[in-house]
Amino acid sequence: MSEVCCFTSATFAYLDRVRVLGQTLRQHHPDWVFCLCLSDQEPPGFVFDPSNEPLDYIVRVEDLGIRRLNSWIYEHDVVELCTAVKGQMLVQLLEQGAKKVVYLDPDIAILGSLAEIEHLLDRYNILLTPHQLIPDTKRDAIIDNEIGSLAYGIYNLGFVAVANRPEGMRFAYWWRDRLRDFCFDDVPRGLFTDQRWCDHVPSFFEDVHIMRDPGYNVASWNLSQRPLTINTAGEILVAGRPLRFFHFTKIDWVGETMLERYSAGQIEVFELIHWYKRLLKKHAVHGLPAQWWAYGHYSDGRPIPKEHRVAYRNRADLKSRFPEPFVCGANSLADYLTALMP
Amino acid sequence: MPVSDDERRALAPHFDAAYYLSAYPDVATAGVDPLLHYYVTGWREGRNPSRGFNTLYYLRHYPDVASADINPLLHFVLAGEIEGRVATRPLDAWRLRLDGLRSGPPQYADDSRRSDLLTELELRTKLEPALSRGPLIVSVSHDDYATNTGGVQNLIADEERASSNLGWPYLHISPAVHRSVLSEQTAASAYQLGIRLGRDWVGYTNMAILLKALASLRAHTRRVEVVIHHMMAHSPELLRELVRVTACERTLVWAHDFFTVCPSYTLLRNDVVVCGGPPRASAACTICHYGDSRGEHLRRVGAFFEAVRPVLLVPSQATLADWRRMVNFPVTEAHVLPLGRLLLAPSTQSWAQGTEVQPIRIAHVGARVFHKGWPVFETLALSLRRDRRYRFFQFGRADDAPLPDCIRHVHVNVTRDTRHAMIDALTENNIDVVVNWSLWPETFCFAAYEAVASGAFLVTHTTAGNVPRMLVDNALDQGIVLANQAALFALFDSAALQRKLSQSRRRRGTIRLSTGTIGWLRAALGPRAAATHAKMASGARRETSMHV
Repeated sequence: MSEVCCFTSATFAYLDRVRVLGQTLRQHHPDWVFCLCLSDQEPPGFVFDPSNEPLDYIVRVEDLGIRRLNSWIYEHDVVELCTAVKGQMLVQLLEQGAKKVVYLDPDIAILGSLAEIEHLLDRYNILLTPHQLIPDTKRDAIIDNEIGSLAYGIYNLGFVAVANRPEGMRFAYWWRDRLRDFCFDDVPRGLFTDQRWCDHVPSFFEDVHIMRDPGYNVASWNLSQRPLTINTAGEILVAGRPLRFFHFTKIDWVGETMLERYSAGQIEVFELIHWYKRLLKKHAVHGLPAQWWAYGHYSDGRPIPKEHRVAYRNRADLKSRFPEPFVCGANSLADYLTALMP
Repeated sequence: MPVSDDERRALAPHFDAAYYLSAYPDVATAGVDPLLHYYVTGWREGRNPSRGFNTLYYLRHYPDVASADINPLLHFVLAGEIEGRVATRPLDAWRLRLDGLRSGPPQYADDSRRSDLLTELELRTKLEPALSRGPLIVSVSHDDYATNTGGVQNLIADEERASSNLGWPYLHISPAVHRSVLSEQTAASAYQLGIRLGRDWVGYTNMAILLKALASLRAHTRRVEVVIHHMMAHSPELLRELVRVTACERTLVWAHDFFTVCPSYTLLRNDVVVCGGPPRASAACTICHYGDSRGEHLRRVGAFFEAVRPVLLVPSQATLADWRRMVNFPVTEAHVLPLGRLLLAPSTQSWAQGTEVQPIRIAHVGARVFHKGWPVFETLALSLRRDRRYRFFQFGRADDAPLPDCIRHVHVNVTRDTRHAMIDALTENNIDVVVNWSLWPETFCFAAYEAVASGAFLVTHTTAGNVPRMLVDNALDQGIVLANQAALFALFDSAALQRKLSQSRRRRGTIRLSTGTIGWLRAALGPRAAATHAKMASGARRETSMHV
């Protein structure tokens, strides 16, 4: 196995993003192994051939060895599920012998060398990137960014890197266990999928490195303190440092509003967004029904409301009574919850 | 629903009726009250009441306004402005350019191919009588200079006139199909082109026929000089063949812009920001719309330079320095040939005071196009629309972009026969200041020269290519070079502009056009040849002046 294994986690709806990540990663690190943890199944008539993708291999959610799989999947919405599998996937890669494992969100694109990550993992067990590195000064930015991080987590778990040493393994097992049981978007209860959990990491584990280079994990939530410029040598700089990877979270209308607020009147950020959108168009997934997610609906096609999933995850009696929650028919969970919450 | 008197009074200062009627001709045709139209239906149709307010942006950006079903401009006037809401999309002109970038390679329509091509015999018959008169100039550019207008086209027209005056036949080749990139690699028989001999249109043919005709006529002419003004829409491989077949003395390649360096000939990355021509493998090229095709473009143009080793002609020192920094294509020689020079004398006319009675008259010279800095000028004028110290103008051809009512248009069309028209118009309209905020590195900006020749104070910036260098090289205090847009807006917001004007010695004069390629060739041919050609060219003008 290669020294570095990089993985991402997605459904088919994000396959275009996975392709962009894979392609840009290969441009800078052709020697890294890149794999996808897929939390989805093909719709009828849709053919997915991993050998035609910029992927070394895929791991399907059903291959992660998770007990009572369908019941566990049902508890999660699409974001929660794609996040919840990250812990088990990390453990699996480390147990299979990967020396260094890097996780990247599928909506990230690589724009510079990540060699420093490899080097840092020789010294540190866990690498994390905080959402922000410098305090904001304007009230709106404090509310958007600093208070946002207090609610959603100090570190952005679009990136985490782990060395295959005992302390790295200890982190992986702990994270897997927490995500197995508590990977929910429930901010009022102090949970935001995998992210709030990692606020504990610097306290719980040894040799954790907080990456302070502003070139890593640049996104709308930290642009206010990381002006993005491009010089005549062709370098894209973030707060004066080379851009390594950009996290293209929400590149829709809402996301552009945030970028407008924090782009400091510079067009370069919008150039980057436009480039990414061009790549998404180039790598569009053809033949996939709109809004497709294999676990987004009951077996009869009815979409599963979020409140059904929340009720199920919170009630042990439902899990025990309906071990196959997706299946419709007499005495099904779908009928029970629909009657309960019409 | 009629607009109340109170609402009309509130809206009127923010509603630009002239702009509205210009932008939406259907409203003008209907003959309805434009303000009422916007108030009732226009905003629901996504129309904008002025250049300063974007209806759709406001409604999308502020869902509370959209859900309230209120006229968004009225909301902005009554509440939004005080609440600090934004009326237009930030960087809108720049983002519109990004939105307009095509994805994928350009597509060409096969039906654009012509069937009315000259045969070899027809072409030879038309060319042969002219070729015996003197050295043949074979000139190549991106379009038919006689039927298109622009700086390069005027320059080629001058060149043809100078050449014909010397008795040198001037054969011009332009692509039959316009495209903004190199032509794909193709057989000579598949590449169609248009031919002009002197001022006369000869017809269309293909490169294979032209090459055969030139090869067979080669014996009829003692000397051939090839001048490539632009490779756009041409095939560098076929141009190499043209050079070989003509067995020319030398090949002159002009860098009127940066097309030899990048398919983005203005060096605007993604059509929005000047990039400086970084290495192809750079991150900047990676995210640029032109990045993917630039490698192949450089390979093909580079192979041409490698094979031909031309003489490079550039119109300014600034451009030559940039070109040499960006590519290392081999050339036999490189020369700076400015397209003209300023001849100035002190002017007794004083500057406007910048008062309500005597406002400073400020102009944009040229078309309302992005790379000439129009969005910056327009934004400046909009931001100062209520400032009585200033009045804003645009000099040039009328075009499709509707003007805000704070900018007055003065129609000027500079052609080969009216080269002084812009200087005259600026002078007649008592223009005090010209803002030249070119967003690309100008290689030689006639508009800036015209501005100074008219006696205007020139405001420009450090990365406008030849423009700041022109001020420095001429030791002019009749202008200012600013670092960035923030400095531009600060100059106009403060009293600094009036102060600068009062400290500047005003001069005006003319632009003396250079003798260009033909003058250079005459010098290169040597004194004896030059004398022979001068005798042949009785009545030929050595220089053309544009007098004021």
